[in-house]
Amino acid sequence: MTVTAVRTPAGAALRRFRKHPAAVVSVVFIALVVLAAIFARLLSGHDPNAIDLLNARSGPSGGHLLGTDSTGRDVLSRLLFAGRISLGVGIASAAIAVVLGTILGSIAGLLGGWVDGLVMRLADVFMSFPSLVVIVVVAGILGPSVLTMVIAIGLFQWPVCGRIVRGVTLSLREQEFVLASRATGAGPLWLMRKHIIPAALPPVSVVATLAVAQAIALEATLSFLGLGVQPPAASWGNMLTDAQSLTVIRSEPWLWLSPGIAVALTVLAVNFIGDGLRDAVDPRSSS
Amino acid sequence: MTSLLKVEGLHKHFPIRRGVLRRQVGEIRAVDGVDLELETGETLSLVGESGCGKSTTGRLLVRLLEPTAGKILFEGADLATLSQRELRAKRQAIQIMFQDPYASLSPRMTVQEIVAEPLRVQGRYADDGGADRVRELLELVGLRPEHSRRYAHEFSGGQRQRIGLARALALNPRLLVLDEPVSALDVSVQAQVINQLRGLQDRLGLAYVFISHNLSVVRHISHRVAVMYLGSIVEVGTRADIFTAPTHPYTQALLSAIPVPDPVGRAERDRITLAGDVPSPSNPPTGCRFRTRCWKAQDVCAQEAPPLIDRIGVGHPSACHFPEVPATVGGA
Amino acid sequence: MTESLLRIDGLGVDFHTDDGVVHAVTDVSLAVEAGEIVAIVGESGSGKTVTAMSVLRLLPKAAEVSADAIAFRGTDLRTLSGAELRKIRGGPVGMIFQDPMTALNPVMTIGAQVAEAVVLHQVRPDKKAAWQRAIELLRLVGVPDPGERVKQYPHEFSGGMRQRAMIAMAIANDPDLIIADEPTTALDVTIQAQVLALLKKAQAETGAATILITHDLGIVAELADRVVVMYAGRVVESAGVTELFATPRHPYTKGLLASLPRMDVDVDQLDPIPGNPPNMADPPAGCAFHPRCPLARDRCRTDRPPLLAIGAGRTSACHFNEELA
Repeated sequence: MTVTAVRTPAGAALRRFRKHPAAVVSVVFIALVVLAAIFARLLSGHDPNAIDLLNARSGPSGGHLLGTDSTGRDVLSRLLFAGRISLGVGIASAAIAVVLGTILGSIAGLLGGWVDGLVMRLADVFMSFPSLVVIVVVAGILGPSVLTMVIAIGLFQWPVCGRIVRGVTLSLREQEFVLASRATGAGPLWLMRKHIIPAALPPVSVVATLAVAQAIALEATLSFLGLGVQPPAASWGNMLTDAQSLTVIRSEPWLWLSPGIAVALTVLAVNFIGDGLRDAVDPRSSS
Repeated sequence: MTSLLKVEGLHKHFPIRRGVLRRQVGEIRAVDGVDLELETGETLSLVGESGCGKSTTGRLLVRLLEPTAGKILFEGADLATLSQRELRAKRQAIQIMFQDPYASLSPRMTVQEIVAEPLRVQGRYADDGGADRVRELLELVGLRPEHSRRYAHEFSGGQRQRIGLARALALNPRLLVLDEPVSALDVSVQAQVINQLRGLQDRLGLAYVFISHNLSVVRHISHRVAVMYLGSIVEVGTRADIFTAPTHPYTQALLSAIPVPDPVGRAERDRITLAGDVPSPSNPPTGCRFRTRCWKAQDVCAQEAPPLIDRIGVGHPSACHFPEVPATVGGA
Repeated sequence: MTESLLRIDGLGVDFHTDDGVVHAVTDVSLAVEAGEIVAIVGESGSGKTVTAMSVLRLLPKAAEVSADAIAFRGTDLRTLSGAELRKIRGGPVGMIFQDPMTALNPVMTIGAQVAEAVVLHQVRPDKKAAWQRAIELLRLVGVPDPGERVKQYPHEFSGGMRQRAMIAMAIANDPDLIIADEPTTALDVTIQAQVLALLKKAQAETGAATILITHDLGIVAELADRVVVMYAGRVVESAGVTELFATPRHPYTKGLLASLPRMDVDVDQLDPIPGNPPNMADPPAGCAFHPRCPLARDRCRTDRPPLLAIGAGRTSACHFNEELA
């Protein structure tokens, strides 16, 4: 039986995504976070690095909506500017992971043989290392910086994407439409561009969102430990560093509550979007 | 004069690998010594049951697979010894159309993109007329060009096969390998596509290698027929040779197994029912490969593989030690 | 008049999809008498499989079945509980599916599955006797060396052998009715010939009536006593097999026969039915076949022709069926 009403595959996916209320709300939320980060300077009204020792550790007030930190810097402006770094690190490292994973995964799937073996063993190695430990060591050797962190997180996340792309490639390789393309003389580059990447895009976009969420959380962890974003630049992670003292936790909650909530909600929202995307691009996975 | 296509001693063996070290423990002889010849404008059908090697042969012809041994001469040139550039040019002249109207078209491309793909791959899209050429191809196979912006899933099985045909014709091939092109279609639509294929052959002077298990369709469309069993050809001849004077017991059994769409006299029909299954191509019988299912098998059949020759002077060869023309076959 | 073995009256099956309701089967009535082979013929989407599956409630949950009656030996199957219905399945009604690989359990031996079919319908289950019966059944359906092969798993069987095992399960409890859904479509032609011969033999020995669902008119001509032709979810013609092939009284049947390449007739051009099968989400108004019909007139575009008796044991749903007589 042929039942056809959906015009494009993408249109159908979008329709399924809209049926996912949590994902739709999350998209709105993330859009707001991104906008807030972009227009941080306009929204904050304070220089995030302006020290005002006379006003240090003051609670939320009309002048400082979320209060000030130990050196009197405005917490709200720091939160907004930190959003830039946290989202930036998340997106940049996920991008590294996706690009690397897509290239290596499709090469492994297309060429097969020893190339496939090599790439997959490499993926195993990366996946079997405790990434946090390695990143801590690397940060220790090279010195902590945003760039090191982005590259390190990206390197440890590519295997997930690489395996998915390889799987898609392997199943696609024997499909008749790919054979037909090869019969007209198409080479590996053409197949990657025209057939494999478009087919891998839906599952990869799911992994990519989850990778963004993971990278944001990982950035927060590393910065909290002092191995990520270095002061005076603000990130949600290093803002939480203040919460290392019990006194602060008890008596100055505005210092850690806002970055904590920011990290938690952002990671949660990105994960919801990932779930929604998964159901949207693969209708069989949902009930 | 040289033939359009000449295949000599074609072999394709797939290794069977086991274990962690992927050691080769055996091989599947999918195609095991096939000779073929085909002229311009001619249809040669390859028939046989699953596992006989007909589809593998087709894929070898379009170089989707590399032969283990043997020569494929196209217009007199050996494809294996051609330079990269010459091969690229020759390869465009041999195209393939597949069986599955669903799997053979990308779900992520519009009809326009699908039909244009071969031209773009070869960098010929603009030179060949771009969108106009695609429109012309769609009209050639009987589709409305207005539909070119739609996706393949919006079409019925028959229409999808036409889209696949348009794609195969895009590079102006001289030889088309048709791999079960109508097997997945409903009967009422099957006839449309067959007529289309015949019409195109006359108009464009195409040669077809028609791969099918459906002997009624083969009988309708072929000029010549090669019957395959376990990787080799057991009998080859003109359509009349194969359908009215088959001398190989396997050909006779195949013809006799086809259900006749006429209930009159069904009780009296004599059928040759073969016992057993096709043996595994990884461990084929010695001598004649058909002997395990053959009612004529003698000791010699187990020892000596019968060569494909015309032993009894019927004008076409068959690979059987004891060929004979039956009294009546398949209702013909 | 005595009650038919199986009687379906006014069967309708709807599927609720994202794109709306699809009427897969509409107003189908048919009767199967004891011992006869009735073929249901049609193309993909014609509703032939859905019709047969609705008898034993084997349709997915998304299907909404309505009917005036689905009576087997006088019992309305719709009133039976799930447990009662399971007693019928594989008991007095045997099933044979198109793809034996998916119809068999891959992690159970063939013998265990055939024996299970036997045990499930025994009053006092006797596993040992059932195993012996399984061997005997496999021998009956022509599985060579059944004593050894009962211990094998489905993947160790070839397609033809798996279909034989399915037939063994279907006839295990001496059924009155066998429903065979495209039983040979997945098989090679020489294996198909073996399985068809076996079906004929099984039918002759058990005396079971058979509903044969197929798209292959050759198989219909070989096996069937009576033929029901379906198009777009409705019965368009029914007749005895000889009459149907000699004088089809619906243009669709006639078109199908004409479009077949024949082994015994030479033609230069096949005579296809123009156009494409209908989109079941949006079928044509009036007679569903009118866009493809050579006889179609204005009336066909608006009035759906009812299925009417047109002689002894024949029906046709065509306004102009007399022009074909």
